[in-house]
Amino acid sequence: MSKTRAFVRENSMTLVFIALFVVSLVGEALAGYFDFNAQQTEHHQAAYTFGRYLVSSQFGVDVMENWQSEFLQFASFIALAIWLRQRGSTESKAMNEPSIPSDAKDKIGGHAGPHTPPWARAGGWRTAVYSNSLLAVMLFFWLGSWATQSVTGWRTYNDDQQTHKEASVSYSSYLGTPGFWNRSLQNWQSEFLAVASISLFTVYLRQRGSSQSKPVGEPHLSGTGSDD
Amino acid sequence: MSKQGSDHVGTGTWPLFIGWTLFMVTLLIFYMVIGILGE
Repeated sequence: MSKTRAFVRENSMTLVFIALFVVSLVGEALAGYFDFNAQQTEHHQAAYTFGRYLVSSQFGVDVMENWQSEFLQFASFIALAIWLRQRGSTESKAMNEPSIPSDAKDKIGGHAGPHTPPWARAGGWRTAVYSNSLLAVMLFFWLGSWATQSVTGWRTYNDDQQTHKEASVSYSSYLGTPGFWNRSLQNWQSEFLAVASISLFTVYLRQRGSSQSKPVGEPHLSGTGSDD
Repeated sequence: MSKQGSDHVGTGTWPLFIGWTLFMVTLLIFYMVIGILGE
């Protein structure tokens, strides 16, 4: 098998989702551009070129408000799945599984195997950092994209204020506006709804062939996420 | 056992991981700067 074919085969899940992301982002940029210029015309303001729109806070805030909520979803899911359980769900550990597994089960320190990542083998602070690296990176992207949403949202808020001949607000004042929290919470609610749904639906529903499903014949409350 | 399918073939997953992470960080910082500078 050629190197390219092996690369595509071994990374097809990531590559397809990246392609879907790019297509969706381009679609969002085009739709957002036409929508934005329609509003500019309505308010007797100058239309933007497409390039100008791509480097605007208007486009930035629309992208970032969705990014932050996705990373909040993953960060909260990863963190809460340490302690919380859903009996029978593919998304949960077994009921009798400890919150923090033993070093032996996690293959860290003296329990490292021949191909264990170096920081998992090292012990001390390196293993502590590596043991929490997935959550740390998700938290970084959540807080980073939320901060970017807040700054670009502040700019667009003040642009609107200017259009309506009203006073600009400071960044800290913007963080207290219903507009900022509406942008944040409208995305958060849908992420938490989705996690609650996948956690519960996988107890009773199946998709044959999917890694996200239990085997079709697996009993509802046993198997993954149960005591068995 | 064939080398393919083992953990150590190294068909570019590490560059994909680094590239994707840097892409996201770059976009995030880019719009942060746009927001701070006011375009």
